[in-house]
Amino acid sequence: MLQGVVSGLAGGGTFAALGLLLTVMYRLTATVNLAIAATGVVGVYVMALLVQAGWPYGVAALAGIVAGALASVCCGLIMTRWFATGGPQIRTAVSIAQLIGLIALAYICFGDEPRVLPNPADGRVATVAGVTITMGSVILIALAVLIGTGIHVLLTRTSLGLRLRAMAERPITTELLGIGTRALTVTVWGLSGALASIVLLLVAPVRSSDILSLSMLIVPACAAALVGGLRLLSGALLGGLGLGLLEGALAGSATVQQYRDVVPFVVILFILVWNQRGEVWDAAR
Amino acid sequence: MRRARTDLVRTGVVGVFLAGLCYGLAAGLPAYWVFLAMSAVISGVLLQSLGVVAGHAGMVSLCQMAFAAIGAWTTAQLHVWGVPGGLYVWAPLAGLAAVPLGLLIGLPALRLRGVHLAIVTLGFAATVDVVLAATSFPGTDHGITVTRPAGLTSDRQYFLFCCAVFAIVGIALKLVRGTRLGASWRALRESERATAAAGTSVPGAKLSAFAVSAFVAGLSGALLAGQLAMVVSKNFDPGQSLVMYAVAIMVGAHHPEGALIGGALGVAVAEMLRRFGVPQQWSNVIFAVGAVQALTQGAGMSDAIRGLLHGVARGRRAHPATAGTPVPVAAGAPAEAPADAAAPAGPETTGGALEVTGLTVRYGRVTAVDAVGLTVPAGTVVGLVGPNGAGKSSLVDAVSGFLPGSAGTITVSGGRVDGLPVHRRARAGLRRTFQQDRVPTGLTVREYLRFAARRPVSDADIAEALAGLVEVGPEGPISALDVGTRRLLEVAGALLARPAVAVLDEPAAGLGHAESARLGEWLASVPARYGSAVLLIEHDLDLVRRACTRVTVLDFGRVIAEGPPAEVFTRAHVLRAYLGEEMAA
Repeated sequence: MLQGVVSGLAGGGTFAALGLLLTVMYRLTATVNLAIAATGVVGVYVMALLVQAGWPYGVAALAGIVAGALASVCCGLIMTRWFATGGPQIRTAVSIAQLIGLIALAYICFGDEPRVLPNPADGRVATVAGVTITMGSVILIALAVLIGTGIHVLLTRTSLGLRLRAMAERPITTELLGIGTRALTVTVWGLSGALASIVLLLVAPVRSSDILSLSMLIVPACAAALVGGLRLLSGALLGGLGLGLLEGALAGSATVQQYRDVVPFVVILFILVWNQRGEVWDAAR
Repeated sequence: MRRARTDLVRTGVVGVFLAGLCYGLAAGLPAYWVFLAMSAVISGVLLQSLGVVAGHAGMVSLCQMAFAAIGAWTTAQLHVWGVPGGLYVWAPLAGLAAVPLGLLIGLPALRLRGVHLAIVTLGFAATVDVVLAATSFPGTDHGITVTRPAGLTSDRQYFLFCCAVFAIVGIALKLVRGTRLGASWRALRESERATAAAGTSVPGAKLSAFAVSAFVAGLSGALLAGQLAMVVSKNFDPGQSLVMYAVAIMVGAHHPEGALIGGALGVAVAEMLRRFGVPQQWSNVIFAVGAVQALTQGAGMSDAIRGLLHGVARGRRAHPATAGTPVPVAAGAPAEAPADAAAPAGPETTGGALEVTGLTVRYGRVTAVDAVGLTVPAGTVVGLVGPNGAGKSSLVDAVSGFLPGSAGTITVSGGRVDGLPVHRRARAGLRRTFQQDRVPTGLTVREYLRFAARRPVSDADIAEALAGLVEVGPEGPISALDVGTRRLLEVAGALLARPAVAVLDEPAAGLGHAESARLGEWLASVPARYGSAVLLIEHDLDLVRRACTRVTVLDFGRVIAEGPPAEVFTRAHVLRAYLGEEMAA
């Protein structure tokens, strides 16, 4: 049991970090970016290609992060150019289309054979209950906490954060005050893509190198974000960590091992139905 | 009548032509192409299932392949068990087997919408995939493949069978589209509140959409099992559900030709890419781009094609039968209707059509409506006025059932309705309209009025309901009307149901002065025409004076005056509430 829990740390950090990114993007751009893990995949594979071409890891990883950011910027440009006034239903559909497109493009550009990905953080930190805690898990969790606190400080303590919040809540009013919202929005998309790439660079070597299964990290990430109702950063952080530990604990038991991917779905379903139980109608009034 | 007959003839001709085309394709195409065409038709069936839930009802469903997988699984199991009847029996059973799962996914959809529903359905798709991958399809371990019954053994015969299933599904869905159920799906897409206020159960509409969709998807799974003989979980991976959703948006799968185009496109693009040696994944890129493009246009390919054909047909006719831009409110004298002649056909009741006592609405610690009593006697038009924030809208919401937490008793024609859900109150004879524009734009004027009436109405009834109120052709789509016209149409729909009482929430907003005056006279004639009483919420005091025999004034959630308008509007404290302290002083 304890072994499983320890082994779930890496997953927990990943879900938490991606869940945080989803939350902040939803708060700032009113979009649940279902393609966020897929943009990270772009980063991972660009890095892998460059390392194969003989680039040093650090430079290749940096290029990967930039590539992830660019992919995300492209998605953001589409969203702001044509769907800025679209309702949540339409934005969801656009996001689904972007997810499909990114996965397909990734397969086209990078092929579908599994790759051996260099692991930047495979050093051991400690051994607990016979399970070694890798550097990667520690960094992932630290990264999740860092993203969470960083975003919190940015939003509540800086003037940029104030502008971002104003933009998210009343985009037209903000624009009338002379603040260009589109550039800000696209910047948010870009930064989220870069951070998602960093997360995926860390988790891909230990989890999977398959494009589809990495992109589908969006499902547990959504579960984490929904623990915080897509608003609370702390909820997303704790939700992600909890989900990772739960998944790890279940992985320890052979009978439920093959069904462990079901866990995020069940968690999502319960959280959502509970959170939204009062939402009887589609419109407020 | 002639029109209906020409429609029938045209449908028949198109049907015969399509049947001939299918037969020609089955007989003439090379074997390989027949197999491809079969795949196209089977995906077409799946796309029709998406057309119901996503196209008509506007709900996101990313788990259609999971429903298809249940259908295929059931087919394989029925084959292993040796259930007689072959695919002719297995296919409908496979569809039925998917229905419980459709209902299961429909349950969270009662509260979840948009991205939440997307996440849940995607999670469901992933779950079904995991379970299927862990437990192989029946018979596959022993090499038992699904066999086709006699008469369908060759691919050419089976292709015709698939075409027949596609056609049956398409015709059945077209028939449903004309019913109140079909209209309720499309109404749902626009506004759940308005759907319920028209007397339709929203949970019923959502669950039925998911059930029908799951059934059709299950059918397509059965067809696939028959086509491939051996299906594995990889045939139904959740990625395909995503792609199918994108294709459905791109082609507009709520029309059968859209679903067919989608199926054909999927196969044709894959085949072209294969021939030119381009990676297959490009097809998904194409569909993703196509879906985004369709979303920017707000319509899929089938709608665009229909619009184009419609435009050509209209261009050929010298004078279009119905004007595209109708004029709100007839120019002629309002209501040549028998204000004093014929007796009202509606339920004649003595006493109050609507009686409200002790109605209280609280939002947290704020009391928006405070122990309000209100009576609308049968056969009268009563006004409800008050300054902004007086609690008028809260009162209307509470009376119509949108605020289940409110206290007080509400009776309609003597029967208690408080405690009932919105649609049951509407069926009990309490109709309301909305301040916001909530008329479903996916319907035509006639379809909407039939949907709202909840009773059989003839074209003459519809013409009479529109006469003197709003000048629109019954064939025209609501999406072409302006907001003021839509609001009047909503009023016409609510009254066509002949309710005991119709609560009209600011029907004159957006109308000009002259139009508003005519509306006032029309409203005054409503009790005689329809036998319905009216509670009119309005800011336009001229309209209230014209239409109402009595008026109730609300301020800070309490009734501050009640009586005939001419008298009430002269009282000092009413003026003060309306115009402020200084003005009235």
